[in-house]
Amino acid sequence: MDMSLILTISMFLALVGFLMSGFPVAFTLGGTSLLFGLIGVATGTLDITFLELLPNRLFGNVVRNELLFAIPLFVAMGVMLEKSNVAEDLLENMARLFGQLRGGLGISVTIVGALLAASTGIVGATVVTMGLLSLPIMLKRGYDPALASGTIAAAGTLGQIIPPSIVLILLADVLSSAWQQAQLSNNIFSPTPMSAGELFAGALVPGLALVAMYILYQIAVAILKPNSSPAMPRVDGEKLDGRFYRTLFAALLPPFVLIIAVLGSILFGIATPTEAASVGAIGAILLGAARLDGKSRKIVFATLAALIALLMISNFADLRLARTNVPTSDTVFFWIAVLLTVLFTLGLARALWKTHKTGILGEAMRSTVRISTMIYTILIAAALFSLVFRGLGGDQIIEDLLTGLPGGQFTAILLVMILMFVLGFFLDFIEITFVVVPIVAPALLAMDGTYGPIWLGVLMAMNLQTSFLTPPFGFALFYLRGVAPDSVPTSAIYRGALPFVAIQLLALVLIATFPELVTWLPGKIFGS
Amino acid sequence: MLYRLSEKIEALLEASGQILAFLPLILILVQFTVVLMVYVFASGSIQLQESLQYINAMMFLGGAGYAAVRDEHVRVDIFYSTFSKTSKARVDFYGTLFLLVPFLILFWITTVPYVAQSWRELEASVETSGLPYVYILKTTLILFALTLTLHAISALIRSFAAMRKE
Repeated sequence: MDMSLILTISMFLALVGFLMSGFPVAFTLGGTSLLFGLIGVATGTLDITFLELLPNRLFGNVVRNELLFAIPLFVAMGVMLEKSNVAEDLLENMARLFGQLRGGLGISVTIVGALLAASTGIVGATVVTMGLLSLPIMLKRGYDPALASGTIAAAGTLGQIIPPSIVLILLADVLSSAWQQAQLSNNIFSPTPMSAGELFAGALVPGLALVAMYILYQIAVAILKPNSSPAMPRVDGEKLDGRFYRTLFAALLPPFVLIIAVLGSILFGIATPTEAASVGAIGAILLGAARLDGKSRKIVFATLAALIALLMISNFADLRLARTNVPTSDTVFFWIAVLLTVLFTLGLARALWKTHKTGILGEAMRSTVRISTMIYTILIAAALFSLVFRGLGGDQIIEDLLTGLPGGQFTAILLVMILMFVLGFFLDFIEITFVVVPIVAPALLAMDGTYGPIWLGVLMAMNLQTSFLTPPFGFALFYLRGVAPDSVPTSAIYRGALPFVAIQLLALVLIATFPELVTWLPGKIFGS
Repeated sequence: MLYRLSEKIEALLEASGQILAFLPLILILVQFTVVLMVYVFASGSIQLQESLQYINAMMFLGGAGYAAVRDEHVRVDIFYSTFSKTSKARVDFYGTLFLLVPFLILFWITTVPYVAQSWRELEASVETSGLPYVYILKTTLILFALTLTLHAISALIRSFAAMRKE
């Protein structure tokens, strides 16, 4: 065996071993990479310039990477929604709407999970929030603990696959460069890129299909085993009258509009994910303020109305005053737009002040700093890992290994999927995305018969999602165990997750066999 | 004495977090302003767009130490969560000493000449109308090394003390 093969394999094994100790992932990744980098230099396998390239890489690929700005912005949006209890309102109202049906409570949890997923995309946060809010209610209403916990864990993992999710943004970043590399190695010298918007579009249909399958399963259980998911008794004096529907509408509409606006503007190519994320974060701050009191709610409505009017004006008037020959109407519209901007700014300033006063804003922003920094630090360490891995010739080894398999692309992808599934038990998606995907994706995408990076990305995202749900090591189950009462045995959590794992596997087989499920929508929207 | 140093460092990093918390808010507001300018008033500013890089870099590179003090850097805690306090301290002590510290040394050794080179040239943006402060943007890389080095010193002291207690 040659030295580079020994070193790459032992680097990988050492990394997994050190990670098991529980020392922070980012630091372990950086330290292990350096250790093997130095061994490589000492044995003459690695050129020391690879290590010296580190700051250059960090500056070019991390600091100046505009797609990654979307991370702090989306994190801020999610944390803000979480801290201002928007999720609580949603769940409460959905439960009142569906709760009186058999299985209705579980369906509410799935729908709220999907909505939260679309708005935050942070698995841990969603599982913990839903576990704290809905598990006690479900148990009190006589739900089977296994069914209840399975529902919550599964709903929580939706955050990875339903766009706009942070997982998909990170995957898009990695897959886009892998895709360009793959095309170059196939002698296509003007490679086409892949955008985060395309990956979002690709994940939308499979994500919604999963939600539908979860709900179908709950309906089936409610019919076949009525005792496992009883209906909620009607609270005395509570009526499903106009007043109720108005409250429901008021709770559902704002987060729904926010998600549609953010996702829609990305999918229709109006805005980049980063731009849309900033709008989402502003929207989340306004929603947080609207919940505080009646007066704030009215002011937030006025602020939003100003924004919508502003966008409408920009649609039919040309506000560039620097042109020669500006028609009078455009000048008038320009000043109206300025006035609306001022009104909007005042409303936003008040919302910021109000949320600052209650401490929500500060807490949300500090939390945003910590979460974004955590993700970025792993990225920084992963940059060193990939330098050392390439320097040792690891990419060549992986490519030879994958292309040398009998059965071509199918076996290669299956092998990678199984590997990622198992790694998903130990590592978070960020590490897998930055450590494993850049290593395997260029080779997979360069093979004959590939369905392209969008399909591969969605397959990987859903695969990881399944892994996080699979007993006994799935992350989502750990998070849920952490907040579930002791009356729910761990075995019940495992048992409840299994049917959802089966649904996931079915969905994986479906998108593997019918790639159109993924590629149809991006093709329609982006023509790719 | 050393323990006091560790506490001072942690207080400093904690305070840095309070200041850094303004940055994501500024990031949101600037990016949103850019969106309004582009989509409503059909005018863009490369300088404003580039300022986002500076704000973001300062936040995530400067925040590394703060996140570490709050123990926010994700761990694979399947086994770690079941460890005793002493075992946890042992993992943190040896991990910091043999994994984090060497990484930081590499970071310092490679980054300082890289940044110094940029300062010598007073490097400007590649965009003609961009911000001429690329040397400052590159300097934020040092923030990462600095705040994490502070954290490493404090973590070594704290975990060593915790190991000794038994």
